[in-house]
Amino acid sequence: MNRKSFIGSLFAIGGLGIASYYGIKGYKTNVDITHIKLKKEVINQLAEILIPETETPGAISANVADFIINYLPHYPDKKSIRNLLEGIEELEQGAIELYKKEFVKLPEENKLVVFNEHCYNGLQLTGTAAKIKNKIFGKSFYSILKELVCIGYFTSMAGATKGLDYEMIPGKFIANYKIDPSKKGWATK
Amino acid sequence: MENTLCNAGLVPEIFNYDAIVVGSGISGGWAAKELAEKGLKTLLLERGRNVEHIKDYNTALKNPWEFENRLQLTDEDKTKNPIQSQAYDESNKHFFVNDTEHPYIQASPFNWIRGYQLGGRSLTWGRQTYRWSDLDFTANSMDGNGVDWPIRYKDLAPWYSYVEKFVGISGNLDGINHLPDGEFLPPMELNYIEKHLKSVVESNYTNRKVIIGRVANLTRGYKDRGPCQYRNLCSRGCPFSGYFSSNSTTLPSALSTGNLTIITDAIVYEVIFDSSSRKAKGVRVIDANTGKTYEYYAKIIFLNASTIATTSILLQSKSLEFPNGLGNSSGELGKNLMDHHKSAGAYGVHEDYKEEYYFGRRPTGFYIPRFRNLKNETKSHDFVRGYGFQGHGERSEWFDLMKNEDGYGVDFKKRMTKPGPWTMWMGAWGECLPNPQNRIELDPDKKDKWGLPQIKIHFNWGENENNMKKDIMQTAEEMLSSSGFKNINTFDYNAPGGSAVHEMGTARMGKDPKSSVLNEHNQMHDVKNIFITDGSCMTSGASQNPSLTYMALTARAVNFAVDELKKLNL
Repeated sequence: MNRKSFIGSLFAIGGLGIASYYGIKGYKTNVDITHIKLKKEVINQLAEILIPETETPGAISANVADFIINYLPHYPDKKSIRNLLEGIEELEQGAIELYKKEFVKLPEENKLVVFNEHCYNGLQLTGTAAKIKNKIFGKSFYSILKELVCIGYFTSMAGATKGLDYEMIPGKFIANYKIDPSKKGWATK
Repeated sequence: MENTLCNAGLVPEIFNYDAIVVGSGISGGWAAKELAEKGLKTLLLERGRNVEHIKDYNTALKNPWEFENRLQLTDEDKTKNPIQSQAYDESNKHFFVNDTEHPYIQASPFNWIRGYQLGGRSLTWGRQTYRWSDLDFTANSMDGNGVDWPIRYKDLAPWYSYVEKFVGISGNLDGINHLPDGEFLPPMELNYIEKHLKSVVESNYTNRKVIIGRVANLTRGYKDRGPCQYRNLCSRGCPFSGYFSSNSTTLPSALSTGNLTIITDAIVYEVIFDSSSRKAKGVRVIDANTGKTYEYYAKIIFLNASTIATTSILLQSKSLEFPNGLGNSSGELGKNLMDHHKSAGAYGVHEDYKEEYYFGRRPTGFYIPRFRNLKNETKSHDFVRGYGFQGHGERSEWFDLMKNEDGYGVDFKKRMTKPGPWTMWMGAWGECLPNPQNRIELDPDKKDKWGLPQIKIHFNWGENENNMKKDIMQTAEEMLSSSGFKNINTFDYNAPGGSAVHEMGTARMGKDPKSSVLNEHNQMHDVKNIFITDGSCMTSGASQNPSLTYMALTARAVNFAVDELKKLNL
């Protein structure tokens, strides 16, 4: 059972499990992010798994990893930062254990196996359950990664102008605007 | 000096004026314009820095990728600026004060959102502009809460028209008695899902209307300003002058008269009372940068520093005659602080109309005017007064979708880059009853960096507001449900007072000097050459946004003050 599964099981057990976790492990909110720049390549690879290059740019083309590395030290929730960093460590360790190779050097299909096992694993909570869990434990590795990758991608020039449709100065408002299924979403509200 | 704009480090040699205006926000800008246009040599004192229209809107034309944190809040924002950061993002935070630098004491939770710069909060306001009616001006007398307003709608109606014609307000002539129509520019348009809501609600409920928000954005070029470019980035300052702010509108007009001097970085901390004439003779000012103090003198003084700040200046202005604050013979100064509660509402998702979308970012939403306690058949047994819904319908975009959509890869990217389902959010702005327990006072011990006493705010929602919120959630859910929305979530954010940024009261108007601070002309009962026309003067809070009423009251009060001055009554 990895750390994420462990926390998930505590959450399922409820208050007693949470209290036990605090009692056993204490609660660590201080995180060391000084080495985050060393993780650029693995963050690049993870971001591209979420938003790959297609007919429009992917996360690597949009320099999403640079945004994450710059913004992460300022992210308002330290628990989620910790979950992201520890998640990356566990994922890298998982690649070594399973394939005896660094994650970033794995073939794509093997990367996905490791990603599924160590990041996108299990039920993704939504709504009130997610809010409670996030408040207590921070966002899961997958949730915080998804959030940062999406912000980094869709607010980048490549993501906003090519992945989505972007109008800096619309100049007019059309209330009834018929679209076909190929229409992309607006980048900004 | 003429047409002067300077900061307190460059104090003009002239210390005597016809009029002094304290504060350059929405009401202060109007006071300065009206006084200067009527020929009075006017000094406008602003405690914050200068913000020059267009030139100082440094973020207005930035793209999302040009912001270091991509418009996201940081840990530092939330820890060092816990109140203001609830209202700003990376693009407009420079128009909000720093909580650490400008502390206040929350005896109970109260979000005091402030903008200390030339133009004040007129740069970042929500621009919703609604007339009040006699439903509002008679409310206190009808149910016995607070004191009666000394004016009625007929007193203010021509002044509403006067200011609307200058501001430029887009809106529709809706013919709603308790939300009077105004002098409108062409309205903006409801989008597809909002029209659907309107159709269903208005056919199901005879007394509920869904109208386009009336907003101080220009739908056509107007008086060399605008039009609105539908960017919905107003709070960064508009380089197209597409919305009303002091900086874009009233202050340039006032300066063009040659009668206005503006001094920024000038913290007014006291009104000087002359006991022999029983008039105010001027104000005392601290240079925000050097700490030096100055005095400026005038025949009339308009206090427009904003609701809590204006009253704090008066509470600081103690004398033998007014040991509890200038103009406080009634003991009412500081009491009856109000806001709108905007915590409750509902949200839903509509699965149809996938071929419908919109182009452009409309800077307003829809409005459902008050429909409770209008007459017997709409009477609630659980609360008095009422609420109006503000809301918007929109297609879910990536920022919404990323919260609930899971997965990765090509399929995930495809889902995130397409318009999601229509959603609708509606929240109510509800009337808050005047309550003397909701009040401000000066802390006797704690000081700010200029040695001025910190303000202590006491504020709690009452039973009436809490009961109203329950009704809000129920009616919002009903309207969304009957309109075919699914996954409806009602909410009550339990936002503390101040969250609507509609602080009102603490120096109320009234007929009786024993129970109010100001008379029917916004003139101080005790000191006749002081006028207060910011939110402090409000006797009740209504459910509509109050800024338009501040503007109308200001223009009306200036007209009266100048007449009185000419008659040598001041």
